[in-house]
Amino acid sequence: MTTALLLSVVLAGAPAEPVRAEIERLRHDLEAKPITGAGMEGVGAAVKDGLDASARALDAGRLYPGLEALRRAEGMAYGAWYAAEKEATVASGLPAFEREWAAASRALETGRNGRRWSRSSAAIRGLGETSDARIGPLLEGARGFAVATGPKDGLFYIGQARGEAEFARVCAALTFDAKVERYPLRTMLPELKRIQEKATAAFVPPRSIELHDRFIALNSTIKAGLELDGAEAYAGSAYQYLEAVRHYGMLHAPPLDEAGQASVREDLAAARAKIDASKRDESLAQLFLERAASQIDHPDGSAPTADEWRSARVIVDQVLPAYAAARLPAVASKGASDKTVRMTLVRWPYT
Amino acid sequence: MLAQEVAAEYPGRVTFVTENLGASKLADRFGVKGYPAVFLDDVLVASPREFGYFGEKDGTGRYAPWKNADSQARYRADLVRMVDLVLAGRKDVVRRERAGAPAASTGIASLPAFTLSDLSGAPIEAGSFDDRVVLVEFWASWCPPCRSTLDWLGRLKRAHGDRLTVVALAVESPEKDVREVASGLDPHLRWAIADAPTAQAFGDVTAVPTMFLFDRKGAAAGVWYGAPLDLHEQVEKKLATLVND
Repeated sequence: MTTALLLSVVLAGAPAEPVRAEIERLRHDLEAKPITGAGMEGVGAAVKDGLDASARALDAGRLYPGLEALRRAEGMAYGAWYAAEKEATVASGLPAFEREWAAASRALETGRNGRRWSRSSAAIRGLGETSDARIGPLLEGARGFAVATGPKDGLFYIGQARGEAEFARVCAALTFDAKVERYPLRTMLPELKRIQEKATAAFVPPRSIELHDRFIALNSTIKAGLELDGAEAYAGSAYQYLEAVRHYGMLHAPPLDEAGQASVREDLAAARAKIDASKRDESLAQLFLERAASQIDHPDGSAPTADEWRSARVIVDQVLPAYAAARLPAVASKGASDKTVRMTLVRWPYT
Repeated sequence: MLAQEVAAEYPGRVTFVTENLGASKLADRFGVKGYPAVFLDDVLVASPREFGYFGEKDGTGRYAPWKNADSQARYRADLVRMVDLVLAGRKDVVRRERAGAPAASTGIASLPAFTLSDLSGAPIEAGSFDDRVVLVEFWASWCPPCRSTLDWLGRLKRAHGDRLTVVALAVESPEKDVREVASGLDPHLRWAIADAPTAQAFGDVTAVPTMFLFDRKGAAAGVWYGAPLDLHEQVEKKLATLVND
């Protein structure tokens, strides 16, 4: 086995066991605390499916699709469990909800502040930072729903925030070989700004109508990226930026015929070989390559959809070049000096 | 997000960050009690007062009224100029120019004089509170934290009865929505819609919820911006000493 392959094992193999343990823990809890009740129809099945998908991805050697599936399942599970656990507690009204909300907020804030990412790969850190960044909006949403429609309606979102925190905790515990060259984290603001401009320019009929859902996904991804960047969570903003590049690419990507499908398969294999041979932290590229692989080779043997083939092509043609550019220092404007300045906007926390 | 747009014009040279009011050390250091505020490194280059206050129509703040395109263009041009100065090593110039700018916050020492009509048409006058502790809450119908705060203020009023007057002043909210919110909450609160002079009299209120507490003699006893997690604890503790004083 070559050194390069050993490195690949270190990067992709080691964290799988803690992730498997988390899947098993959630499966056990799901059995002990089945998700039932009004409004929860189908949630239990969706959580189970998500955990199964996560496990299958890990079995196929794809850590990152496994983690992404785990995050979705964990958020739903914690949301449903918390709503069931606390429904009676908040039945007395908003003050009881406020007490639960305040206690949960304090605990989540403490957990978030205590996370350390110095031994994490960029992709793991990006996933964790993104989950941490979802906690605030979920808590505010919880409060908003509780006030607007009733205390119990806010509980699911508090639980979901706890699920995001739990997932971030799992991510923070996944450490990597310190000998690997670190990913050069930096602000992605210029890139995010440019893709925002491109998204705005592309938003014209008929595409804006036909692909409305894709535009929503694109814009919310850019927004998440900007918020992460503003918080100096640069692994998270790089992850969201690359996801935005994929969404944007999907607006224009043509369908693939058989020759195109064979071609994308070859291109992915070549890209994967190059990444595996690298002695740098290439985990963000790995994340998208594994995504593409899971899209065109379903672990359950089912056939890929036309969109999945297109997505794989976009990852090769657009996401990987964007990733390579993101590793470089941001382009300085003409006549730049070496001085920099930090601009701080103090804003209202609730909007 | 105009500030962020300006920052994006300087890739690699301007780092843009946001901090929440209530959790910003910079804001605390400069006595900033409202939003928005913009800093370049440790220089306050735009304070909340410059964006006007609730209900302001005449635009006495440099960037007020904020909804006006000219105000936004002026703000953008100012910010670009100040970034250029800082990057050119002339932070001293920015500091000097900012020395004449409005203070970050205009605190108040006592209950200001104001006269309004409540939602039933009855007058509310600052001079008519008769030796009671007074709590004034600025709120808006579109602000979820305000709603829960108002609910809690109703409980405070019931707990302290005639020893406490709670005045709930809505800003930038349609009257229909204000009446709807008020109808579902405690009727013993004094509900009214604040006009611009009232928002200004309380020190240029620019954020909701903002809550002022005054002792029996009308002296300012506390002010709270937003809805921090320990808001209830802080206010109830302070209130207990004032009503029993």
